[in-house]
Amino acid sequence: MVKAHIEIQDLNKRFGKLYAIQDFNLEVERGEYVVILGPTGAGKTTLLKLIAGLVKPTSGKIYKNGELLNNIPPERRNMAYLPQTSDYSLFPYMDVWENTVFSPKMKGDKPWEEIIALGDEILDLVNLRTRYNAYPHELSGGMMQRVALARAMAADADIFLLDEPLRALDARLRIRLRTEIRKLVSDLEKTTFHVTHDQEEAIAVADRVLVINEGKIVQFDIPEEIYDYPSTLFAAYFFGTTNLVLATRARNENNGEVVQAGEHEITIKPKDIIRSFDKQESHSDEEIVLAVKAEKILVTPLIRTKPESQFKVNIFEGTVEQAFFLGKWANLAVQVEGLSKKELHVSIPSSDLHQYNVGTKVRLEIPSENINYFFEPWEVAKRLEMT
Amino acid sequence: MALIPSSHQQQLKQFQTRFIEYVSKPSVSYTWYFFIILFFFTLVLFPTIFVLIYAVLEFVIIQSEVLSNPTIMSEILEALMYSIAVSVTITIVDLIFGLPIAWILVRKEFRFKSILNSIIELPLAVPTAGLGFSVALFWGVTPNVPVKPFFALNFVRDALPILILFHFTTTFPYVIRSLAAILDEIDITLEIAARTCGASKFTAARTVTLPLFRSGVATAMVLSLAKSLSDTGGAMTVLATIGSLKQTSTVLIGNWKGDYQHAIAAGKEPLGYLLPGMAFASVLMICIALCLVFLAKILAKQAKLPFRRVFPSIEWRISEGTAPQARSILSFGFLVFFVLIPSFFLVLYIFQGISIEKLLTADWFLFSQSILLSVIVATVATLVNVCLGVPMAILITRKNHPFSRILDALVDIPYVVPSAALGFSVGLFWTTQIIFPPNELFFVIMAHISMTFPFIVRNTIGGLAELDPAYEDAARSLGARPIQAFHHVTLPVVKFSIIAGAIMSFTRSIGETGATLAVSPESITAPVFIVALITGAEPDYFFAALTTVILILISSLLIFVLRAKVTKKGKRKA
Repeated sequence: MVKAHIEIQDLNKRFGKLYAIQDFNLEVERGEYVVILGPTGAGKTTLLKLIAGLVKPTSGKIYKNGELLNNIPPERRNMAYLPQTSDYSLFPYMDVWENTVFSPKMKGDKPWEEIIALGDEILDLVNLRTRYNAYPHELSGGMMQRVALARAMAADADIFLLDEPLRALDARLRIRLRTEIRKLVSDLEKTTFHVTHDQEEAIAVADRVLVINEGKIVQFDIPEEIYDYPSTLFAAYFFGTTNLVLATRARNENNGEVVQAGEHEITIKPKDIIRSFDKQESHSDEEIVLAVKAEKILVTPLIRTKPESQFKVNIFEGTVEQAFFLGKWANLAVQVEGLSKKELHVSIPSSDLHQYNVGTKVRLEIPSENINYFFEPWEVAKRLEMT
Repeated sequence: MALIPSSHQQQLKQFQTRFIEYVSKPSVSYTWYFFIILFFFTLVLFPTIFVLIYAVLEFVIIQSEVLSNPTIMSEILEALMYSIAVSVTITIVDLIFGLPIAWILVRKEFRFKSILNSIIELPLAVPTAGLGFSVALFWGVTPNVPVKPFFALNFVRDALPILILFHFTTTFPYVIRSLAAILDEIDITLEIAARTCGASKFTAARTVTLPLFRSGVATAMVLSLAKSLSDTGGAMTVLATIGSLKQTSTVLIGNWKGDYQHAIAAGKEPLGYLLPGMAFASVLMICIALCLVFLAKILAKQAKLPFRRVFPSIEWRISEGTAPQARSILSFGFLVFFVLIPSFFLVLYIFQGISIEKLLTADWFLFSQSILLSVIVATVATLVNVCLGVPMAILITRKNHPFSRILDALVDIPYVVPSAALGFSVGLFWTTQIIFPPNELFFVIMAHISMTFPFIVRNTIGGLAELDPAYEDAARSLGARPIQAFHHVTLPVVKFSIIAGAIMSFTRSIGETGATLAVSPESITAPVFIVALITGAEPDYFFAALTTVILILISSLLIFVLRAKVTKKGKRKA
């Protein structure tokens, strides 16, 4: 049997009474790019530090290639941890060259000539050979980021632990560098854990996304799966623009289950119910929360003359309250009379924006297969929307 | 950059690797830290408060010799009253004048700012024994001093006001320094935000920054209390110069210890009340010091200053126009008149009193011996403290252990305990113990180690607090052993703090009278020598002043060399 590169078993970390990490179990294959995603204080950094060995777990085990890591000090784990500081924790008193060869120099297992060759090669790789004698404070954010990567690569570690590696960069550079990093570490076949709180970044670069919240694993899956079929309300709300609609169970019909949301009835696919049921114990209450992504609602200007088909379900009429231009996309806030949710957010291509002015009457259709729903108390949804 | 290592270098490297591997063993590092803690508890903290245990064990003798002896009791209590009165007054005065001056130093830009910033530290280099003489010469009526300098004010006759003036000179620079350092860290944008909301400069400072500044005020209060309670040499020379027979409690302990030692040296049984009397006075002083410090911390945190009410018209008036300018000039003048001139007044005295005859008749042998002794004691104490205080600071800041917090609180105790009481206690401890052979020099050094240990630890903690542990984490993860991470990553950043601590420790040690006297009056360090010259039957003021100046030069030279060395290496600072 092939051992997972990193395997975590029943991992717990407590600070006082507070669980920073609770009951973590996961396996990561060699060469996988895992993005750890969660809001502030979810335990992302703690998880990285546990893997790096900088924090001792309260209980549980971490294996690398089947070898137990718990009692191995960080410097012997052959990982490269890049902490979350604005200067990428480059050592301020060392220049680019000294930073790059820091690791082989410390480990002391290579002869000098080899270290020099390695340093040159890596600085070439990140295009910084000409700046070898610059100090970190003389470099731009992007260059510092590349030095940090060079330093990690020179360590010849097989696991990279990157804590918000793109935090201190401007938006355009972030997008460019995230693909650059991704390509670099994938070419080198490094297993990577990349912490972020930016859901867009996570989906863009990850092989798999590990969503965590309040110290617990919410979902660990490929980006497409997490986006389309979130396993919890939290995961559903965390990605993209999501409408949460509060509803109660009404009755079963042959084409699906019908729920009551305010004065309207909404039909949902049983398939989704089963998916959503997977993990949740049935909630005794009748309360259900529907989650619909903004781009999965179909919107058309309302034309009075055209009669609605009898068989169509989930058709609503509404009024455009506000329109937001977002570049390629635009968002409409549509008020639907009588619905339990005040406004539904709908994404449309900006090229269609001219059809919708504030006050325009529109027809909304929510295909039932686009609705995820969760048997969770309404309170949970309200709390999510508050934060 | 590519050097082909020779075989010698290779050997060295091998040795280095083996050393690093050895100290990285968990057992070795645990043993090392255990040793540090053991050292701190048994050789720093325990001797400092040993007198408390002594007082409990020998309570019967204290009862019979001291408590039931009204003359001795009144002598002790009177001395204590003096000490308390002086230190409390000084603390209040320091705060009243310290806050605006620290403010100006940090937040205002003016022409002499950098000069002011550097001269404010100068009085710290003057040993208090000499400083006491200098201050007394400037303010006081000095019947015994033959040649009076031209500009001497010559009007303070009583012990209390001159002691207050003297302690003001010694504590004020410390207070300013610590207030300014903490003020510097408070974000000025808060104040700017308050001002854009319509508050005058003064209102903004008072209502926004001052409440954030409570911890700074507490630190400053503790500093000036501890410093003024513990000074011995200065108080001795001040009082002797104006010819007063009053005593503060530290002076009392110093004098009695002298009497005790003289009796033993003369082969006589010392007076029965001396030892228990000193112990009793020390215990009282330690308790009072701890209480006052505790009180000061509570006061600074709880005091309800009128933060909420605002008086716009008045506050606008003092924030604008000529008022701020006037305030700056006033503070500057105040500093010069009350701190700088009195501190260096003895230089004037030397120039007036210098003559070939005096230089020839002076006891140069004793002089050089005392200077040498001082330098040795201060150097050894500082070196030991650097070696053991830095790991202690790491233990407190970096090892996340409940024990760390206890250590953090305990480290300050030797600093708060008045040095004469500390010296007496340490002396008592070492003469009571039976493991080490008695050696006066060794005891004095140990007392100085106890006394200056907190300086190094506190400063290093300050430096470590500024360095994000993330750098060390990154280094460890990249394959650096803990000691390598410290050497290559931590040390380049914290070495400035360590050096600052070493300078404080060295200057404090080289200027200390009380602790030395209370441990062993036989060990004539330079400050003890100065005190002896001034308080002796035939005072030699000129030579005392000269010794002081030479001591200042030695301290300044050391500070200069250390600073220069640090900045030369630290050029790459980000």
